[in-house]
Amino acid sequence: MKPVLLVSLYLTVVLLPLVLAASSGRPPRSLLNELASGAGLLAFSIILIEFVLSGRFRFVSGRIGMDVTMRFHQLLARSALILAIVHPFLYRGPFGYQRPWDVTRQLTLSTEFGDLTTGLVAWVLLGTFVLLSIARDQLPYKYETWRLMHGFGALLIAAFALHHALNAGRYSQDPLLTGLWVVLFGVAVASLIYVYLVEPLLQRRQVWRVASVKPIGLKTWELTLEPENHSGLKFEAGQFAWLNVGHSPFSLHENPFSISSASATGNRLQFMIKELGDFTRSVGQITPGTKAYVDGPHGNLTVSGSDQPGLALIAGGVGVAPLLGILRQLHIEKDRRPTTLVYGNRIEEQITYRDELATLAKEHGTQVIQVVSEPSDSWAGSTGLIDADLIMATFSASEMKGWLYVVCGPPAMMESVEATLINIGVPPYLIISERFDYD
Amino acid sequence: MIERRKKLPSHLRILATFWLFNAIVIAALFLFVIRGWTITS
Repeated sequence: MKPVLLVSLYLTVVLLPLVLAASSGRPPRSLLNELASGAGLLAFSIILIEFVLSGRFRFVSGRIGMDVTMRFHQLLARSALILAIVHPFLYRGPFGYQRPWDVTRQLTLSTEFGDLTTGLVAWVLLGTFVLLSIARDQLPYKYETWRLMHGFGALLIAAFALHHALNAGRYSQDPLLTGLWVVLFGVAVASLIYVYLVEPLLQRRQVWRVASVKPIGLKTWELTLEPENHSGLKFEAGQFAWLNVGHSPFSLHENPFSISSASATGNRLQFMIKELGDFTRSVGQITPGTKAYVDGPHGNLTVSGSDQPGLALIAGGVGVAPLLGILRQLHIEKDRRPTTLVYGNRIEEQITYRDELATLAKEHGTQVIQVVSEPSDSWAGSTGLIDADLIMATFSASEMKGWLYVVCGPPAMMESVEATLINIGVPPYLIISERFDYD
Repeated sequence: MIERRKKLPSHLRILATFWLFNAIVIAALFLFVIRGWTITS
């Protein structure tokens, strides 16, 4: 789906409860009471759409990128939290018993214990939940535990909020709005069912086996998978997949990795994995033949369809994985456009695929520029960071105006390189990037 | 296909879009509240 359509659809669904409430024909109340209701309606609609944003649906993330979708998921949760926090404090009454001038109870706010309790539980859970999600990296939970808590915690919040909205909510008594909440809640539950049940079931039908695991650099491994009795994965060079090795597809033991192989080399999948977390630290112990499951392909860090006269690939550390896939694909397809790879690492031992990069330089004509920020005395290549000086020394003025720049690496490096490229005159629409960390 | 509407680095583009979302949501909330106010007055 086109980004503009996606954004319009998102806004329409988020604002629809407000529109339905406004057109419900109910008598108006004080400004603060209306503001409180509006904030509650918006918070709930944002929360329910969060399930879809985090569901890895290609119709959502296919064009704007999984990283962008997930970043919006994180940011919008904060907006929902702020709206939800202010929601109960804005009400000014009248509360409680029925007034003689309000026989239909349109203007009196409910103080029914059950109706308010579910709202209070959802309110407390949402605050805790968003704060725990922001601080996830600092918490002692394994990724899998956190993911399970995140999915079911979100479902609990949505269920309590639904009960509160349908029972204590004034506008939500309107049949149209009631119907909308039920439909949106159904969509949220269906998204969870898809992620936790349907997707694993689909993966179970496509088993992969580990063909090899070998070290390719300091704390960096190459993991190769081969399909078992199926034709493999259709993907474009530069895309990534969620990888589950040695666990049931229902176990949530999966992590995103860029595919470093080219689709044109056959049906084997290759990943470059750096030791960083729970799973990656144990990659070296994986034995050939181990079962694996792949959820993918995802992402849009691809150059297919591009018509620029040259390609600049700028990588930091393990971020070279998708760019290597792109280079391999271009080489196999005999794409004759000039290519330059700028590959930065902290120390020389982290450099991977030296021989293959030398071969690509010789056979494909790729200009390979290795940059090391903490070089040894014997290092003969470029030193320092991938900065403006290096980029300006590497690319000519016409290359800066017309080539396609593909950037992948740690977040700080990507932000710095993107800003540098724009500052030295590379048109922003000629820069594509993808990240796996969002904060 | 390459998206040609980009004007900012990707992380700033995301933040800009996020604040645009927030501005639209706040504007809608304002209209919702004002609707009640205009009816009551």
